Amino acid sequence: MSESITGQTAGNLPVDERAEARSAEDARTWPERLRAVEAWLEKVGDSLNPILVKETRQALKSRQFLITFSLLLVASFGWSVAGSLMQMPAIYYRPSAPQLLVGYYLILAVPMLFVVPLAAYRSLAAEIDDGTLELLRVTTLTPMQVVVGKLCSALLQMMLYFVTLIPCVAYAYALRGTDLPTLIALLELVLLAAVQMTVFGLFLAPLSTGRAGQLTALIALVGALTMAEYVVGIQAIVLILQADPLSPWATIFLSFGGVALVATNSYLLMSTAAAVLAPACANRSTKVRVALLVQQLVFLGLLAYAVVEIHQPGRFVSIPQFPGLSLLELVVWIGIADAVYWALIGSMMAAESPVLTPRVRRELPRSFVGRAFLTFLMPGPSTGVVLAILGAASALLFVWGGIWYLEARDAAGMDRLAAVSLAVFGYLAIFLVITRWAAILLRRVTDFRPSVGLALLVVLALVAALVPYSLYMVIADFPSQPNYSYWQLPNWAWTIGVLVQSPGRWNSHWFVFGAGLVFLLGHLAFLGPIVMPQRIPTPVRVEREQQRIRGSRREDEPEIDPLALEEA
Amino acid sequence: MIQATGVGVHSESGGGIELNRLYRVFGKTVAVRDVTFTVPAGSVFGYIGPNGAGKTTSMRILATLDLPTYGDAFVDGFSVIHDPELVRRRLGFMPDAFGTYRDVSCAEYLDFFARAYGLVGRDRQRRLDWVTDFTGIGGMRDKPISGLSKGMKQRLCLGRALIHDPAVLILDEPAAGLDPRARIELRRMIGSLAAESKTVLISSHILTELAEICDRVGIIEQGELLVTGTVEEIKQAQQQTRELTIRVIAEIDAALGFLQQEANCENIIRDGELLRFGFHGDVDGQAELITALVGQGCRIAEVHSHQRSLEDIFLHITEGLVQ
Repeated sequence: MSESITGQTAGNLPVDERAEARSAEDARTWPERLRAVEAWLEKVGDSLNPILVKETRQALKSRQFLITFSLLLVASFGWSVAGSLMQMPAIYYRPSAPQLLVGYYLILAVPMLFVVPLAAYRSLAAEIDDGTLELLRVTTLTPMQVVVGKLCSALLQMMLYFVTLIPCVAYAYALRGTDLPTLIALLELVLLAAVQMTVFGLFLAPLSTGRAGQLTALIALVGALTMAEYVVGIQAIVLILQADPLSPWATIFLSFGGVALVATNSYLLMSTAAAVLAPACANRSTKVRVALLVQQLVFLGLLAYAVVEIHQPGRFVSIPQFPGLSLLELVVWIGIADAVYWALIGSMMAAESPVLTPRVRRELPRSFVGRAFLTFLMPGPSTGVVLAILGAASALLFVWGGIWYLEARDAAGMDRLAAVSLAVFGYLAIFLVITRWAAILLRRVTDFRPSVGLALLVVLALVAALVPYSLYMVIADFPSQPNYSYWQLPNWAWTIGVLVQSPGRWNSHWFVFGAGLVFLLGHLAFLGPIVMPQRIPTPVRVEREQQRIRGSRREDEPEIDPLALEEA
Repeated sequence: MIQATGVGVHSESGGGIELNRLYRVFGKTVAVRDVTFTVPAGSVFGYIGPNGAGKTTSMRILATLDLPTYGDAFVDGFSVIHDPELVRRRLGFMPDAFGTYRDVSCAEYLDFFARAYGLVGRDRQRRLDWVTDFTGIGGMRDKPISGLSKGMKQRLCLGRALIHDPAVLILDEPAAGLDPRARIELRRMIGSLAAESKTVLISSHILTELAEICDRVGIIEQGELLVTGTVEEIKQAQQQTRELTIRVIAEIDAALGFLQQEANCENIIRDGELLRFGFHGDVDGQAELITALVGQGCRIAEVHSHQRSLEDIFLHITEGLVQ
């Protein structure tokens, strides 16, 4: 209609009428344009996570958000005035941005590192307490969508707080004394820490059941948030006052590395939270295992790259110094800590239910290649133990790689570190396999959660350390200077202590490492029946229905089974 | 927790609801014990039982919120254990107690659940309009949920369960705590849903409440399903015994002796001139008994016969035991 006016008749009209016609066209098209924009926005809204939409509506009406936002506005305005006045008259001729930025950081840190993570935790915990989670569980939302929705809602609040403070930061920047990279690094630091803490809160929420559990989780979260406020606060204030002490390469590496680590950690924690919320018949383990592997790859990759770069003089202007530790020692202890982390995770996998429901068996790899490489990602305690030992082995390989790479320039203590890493690996393999056996026995008596595996591992480690030591002390009549012997091999604490302090004197590490291999091989020998279960076919009606659902989402979606490599 | 029960993970019986040898054990308590029944597609099934009988547990299993210790349940042919996602798409669940969100209006609440079921664009708006109209909460659209009465909350919850137009509805004690008018309204709504060929499983601890709207009922106590059938079938099965009261103004001892000799008379109670007893038999048998008593020389002034009410039947079937 409007086109017909402009295209066909407008040229023949007098000037006034032409202008009138144009204004009439504008009057008609603007509502149409607005409607088109509205329709587009509605489509965008439809594609958003429903939890995000609901939480945003709730948050914008909630008293908590209103109070926090108002306080942030008042505090930032107040500090802009007060901070500027405090620096008068030097503010006219001296760079004053750092002093103001410290204040802005402290104002922003409270909502970002405390209010938002705590609100995200309470939001998910309240869904469980109030019974609304059950209403969500009967919808088609997946547990991961619920967790991601909560995170997105928290991110949106963070963005609002960020945007509120941007004029203040711009004002501080105008006062000189800080550069743009420092500001970006500061904002990234706060944002990454806030995201990590929020995800940690979401991770804790479904783990806690009952009043005592919730109280413990809340105390743990508040403790972690307080710690984060302190640690991030120190880093941020140092960054503001001293500017970026690192080389441009190091700054970029730390920026990307930080993002990668927070992303992989968050994925792991969110996968775990989603697994806890998922029904018991579902495959709750594979995504967590994949997340663990991704985290391990990213962590070791970043660490290896950092070691290589740090080893080249001049790449880092200044690196964090750990008192009394060389780069080689740092690498070895980080690798050992990583192996212990895998053992702790592995103990929980060792306590998983051994029953593979038909639903899980439908998802088993069907091809030879798939069975060869992906079986250890499938649920089940036996596969879990092997995956954990493989994870610990990757940490050990990293340690040995570090020793090999750094040996040329720092040979001192190499034997000692290699021996310690071998012994640690051996102990972890032995303890994990025994934890698996203990879980088998315990499951005959009662059903239990995977976290019981962690308790079993801790008890086992304590017994292994204390019993030989106590026996020795009693037999030797409590000597003032105890002497280590091979009878103390089960005592991991003393054995590792001896290997750290007296390198070359004892060969305990070879015994422990050998025993670890024997336990691992024994476990693998018994693993056969576990790997044997064949994939069962999905009922035709179920398959058709799934295809129909997939079709409703995207017509051209190919049917790829990620666990069947041959078909893929 | 879950017993691997082979590969039979979907029912061939087609639509509706099917519970197959369902058990649910909590510690030493058997909440549901070997419960098996089917609800054909398009019918309304009343699930009756006293508090703590196992109704909610069975319904939570059907709603994919809990897992059976043994056995399986199917909704529209899909296993609640193995294909809960498919079950949820065709199931609307209204729990006996439901939580609400703070700072959310009725319209936002329904809109959220419509989105959660994957409804988009015009489809979502169409369903929202239908649900608002059906449940009669149009006037409350912008009111916060926290301000609603119990009856309106129930309507809203029913609306939430209907938002994705499910083929199967599971309503756990929807009438509990409602006033008589709200109960009638709820019954009317459920009747409308039944007329639309929805499969409805509805629970209550009052048999009479469901007698009018249910095609079939099942009575459960202590986790065990005691009886299933249409209300009439259950009535007939339970009303083989009629309650008789006769006033005997002469020779009452002879009448009492005679009745005690009769095999189809039980629980005979003498109360002055009145004799109350249960009689197994139909109306013809009752007439013969009275004739025989008169033949014995007894002078009978009054005879009262009455059948058991639904409440009596329910009380007779159940023993009032809870776990």
